[in-house]
Amino acid sequence: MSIRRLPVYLLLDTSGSMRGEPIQALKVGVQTLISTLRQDPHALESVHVSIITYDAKPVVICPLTSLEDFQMPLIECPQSGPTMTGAALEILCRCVDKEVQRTTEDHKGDWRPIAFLITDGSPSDTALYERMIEQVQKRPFASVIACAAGGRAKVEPLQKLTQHVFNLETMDGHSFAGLFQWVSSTVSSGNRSMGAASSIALPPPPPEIQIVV
Amino acid sequence: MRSLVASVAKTLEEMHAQQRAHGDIEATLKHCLNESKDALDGENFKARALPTDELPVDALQDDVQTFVACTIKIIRGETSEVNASFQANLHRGGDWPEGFLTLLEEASTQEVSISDLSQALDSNSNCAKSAEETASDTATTTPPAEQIETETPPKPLTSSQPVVKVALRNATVGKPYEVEPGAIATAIATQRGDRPEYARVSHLQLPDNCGLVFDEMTGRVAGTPTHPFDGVLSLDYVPSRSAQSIPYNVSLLINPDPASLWKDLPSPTNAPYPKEPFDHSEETQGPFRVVAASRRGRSHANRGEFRDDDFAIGYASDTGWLVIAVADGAGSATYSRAGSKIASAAAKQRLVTVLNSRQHNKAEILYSQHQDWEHPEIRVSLCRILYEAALKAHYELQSEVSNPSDPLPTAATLRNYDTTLIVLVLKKINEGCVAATFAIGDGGAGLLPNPEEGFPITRPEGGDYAGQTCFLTMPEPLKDNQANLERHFHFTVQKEFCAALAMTDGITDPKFPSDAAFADPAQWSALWTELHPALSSSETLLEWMNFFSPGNHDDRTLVAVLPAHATSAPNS
Repeated sequence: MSIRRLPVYLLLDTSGSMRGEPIQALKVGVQTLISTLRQDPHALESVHVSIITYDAKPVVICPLTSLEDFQMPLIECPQSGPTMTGAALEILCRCVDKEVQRTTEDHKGDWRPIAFLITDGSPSDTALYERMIEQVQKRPFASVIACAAGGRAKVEPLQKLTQHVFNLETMDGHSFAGLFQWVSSTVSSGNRSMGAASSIALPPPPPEIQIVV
Repeated sequence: MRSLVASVAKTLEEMHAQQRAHGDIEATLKHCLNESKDALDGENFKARALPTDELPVDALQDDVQTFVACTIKIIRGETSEVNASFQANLHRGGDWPEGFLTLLEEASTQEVSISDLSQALDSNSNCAKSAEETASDTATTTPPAEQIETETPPKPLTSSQPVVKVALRNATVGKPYEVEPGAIATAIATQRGDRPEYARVSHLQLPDNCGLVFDEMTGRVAGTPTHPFDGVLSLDYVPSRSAQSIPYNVSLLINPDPASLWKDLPSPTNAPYPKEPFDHSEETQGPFRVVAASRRGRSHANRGEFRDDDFAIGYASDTGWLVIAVADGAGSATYSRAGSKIASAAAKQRLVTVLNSRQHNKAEILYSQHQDWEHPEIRVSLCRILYEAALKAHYELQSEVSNPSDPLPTAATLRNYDTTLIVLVLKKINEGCVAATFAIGDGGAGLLPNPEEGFPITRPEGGDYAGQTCFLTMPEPLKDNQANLERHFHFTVQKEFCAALAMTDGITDPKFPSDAAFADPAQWSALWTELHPALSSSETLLEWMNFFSPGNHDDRTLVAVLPAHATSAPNS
């Protein structure tokens, strides 16, 4: 019997401005997320993680992998260049269409996927980004959560994507650890029954994360 | 240029540490740039400051910002006030560390310390080197990326060794594990550029008593891990037959066994609508024996949440109808534990009252007229009776919202009481039975005329994705039209009767892994074979319901209806 998976897609901004401490802190944050989830038995059995990085070009650096088998991929930042958030969402939609299993006669469907997008800037490919917002909203996400990290991140484009937009003022290890601890509690509450159309109720975020209304 | 900026940055850092003033940074930098080549250093810069001046602490950040802004101009070539010979030289030594400009741009909008900047300048090569030297240097210090299985934190290797990063495939406690013979040596050899066929690993230091064994002859790692582990293992790598061994590290992760991580936390003591984690009952009602149990799921126990399932059993003794209700409160709804309790109790109460009344039990009236349980009008009348019981349960939840039976901290909404509801009514006729169900949401019920075959008497009602279902609290499943009633109602007349089972999805999900399995008579028979010995008492049923099934840890509720004469002995 195959286990119903809870797919979690992490979209990480790796544009040039993330070089140095921010990207290191982000990597440590992802590690924190993974090891926290590994302590949750329900998550360890059901959570599958995929990592998509995006700078001038989006790349699926880790295809959907069970928490059990997950190994941290190499995450690198180019020197500089645009932030192709729209292209990243395009890849996200393609992955979800291909990977997330619906209920069929012979299979129980996966849990509805969760996507986390982290950026320290704003989309460079605005036209594609606008188009992809519509596409993301057509996908069966239980939740799409966007995080604007650092002072230069633009909140407005993210608000068009999802109602769950958070602001992380600084991009240091402490802030990212807090963010990903919270992400893990959000993921942990993703595998429970809910109405067909409702989205998951998010746990309260830690103080260093500000809810953008 | 880089050497100048690095040197100035360092000097600034030192002077800031001593809280010494150094005059106007911009003017000093410009002056330095316009001086002869020899003068382009921090010493020149330092020399301009008066040794006795003290710098106010709050000026430090302003200084850094000025320095940053100047340096950005220099790198971009926007400095107009420098002389022509300098302009020509401006980009020749463009050996800025990767991303330094971006870092500066970052620094111009937020607080940054000068030591961050000077560290960045010192980061990947000596700042005094020429551009050519720097380029060739970079090529040799960057490890080839393509062979790296995963990234581990940098290990203190001696500087003469190339950085080799090898991670073993993850293991899990209790699951057989193997790394194929020679695989580790091959991975290291490929990264180093050695010939894999001669390379071997002569020693691998596995954690003590971890359950895994390294075979030095073949280089195979095998076994079943006994303890979780996350760390680095040291090994001796021998690149070729005659070569000496070289120490290396590989990383290994052994996941804990998920089954060992479950916590059994008590439910809150001061929350509204408290509910015991377990409930069970056993009763004989007319020709039926009913064994029921409900237990809090591991996923709820792990978070110290309440059991959200509930059940209710009733018997219309004047007419011989047994009434069963099972309900599964939604994990995502705050008071669903109350929703399931109120709904199952209300539906049961209503059905017992209606079915027990010779005046209102239309099915009995119709039977006395037609003497045939399969008469279509009987089916229609039972559908109406059951539908109205579900409707009654829905209204009961609505009145709970407006008038809570337990004081609530804030006003609740109907969706706070989200719950599924399955009602099953049964009447014994000769050796067989009449059975009808009305079901909203997941979980399900089935009937076994004999131990060898069974079939569902509810329709599976999962959504496209896991955890999606409909609830009694939603308007759609209660719409009073033919198509909707048919979707939720089921009726059957059987000549034999062995058992009827009503279950929440905590049982149906693990026991019927797909809709096809739920419809398969053999699967029902298999469940019966497994379940039957556990029905000797409701305690043994409760114990059986603790079975382990990966991914299935919801609350579990099962109500089994058997003929009263049935014994608990396994079927013959």
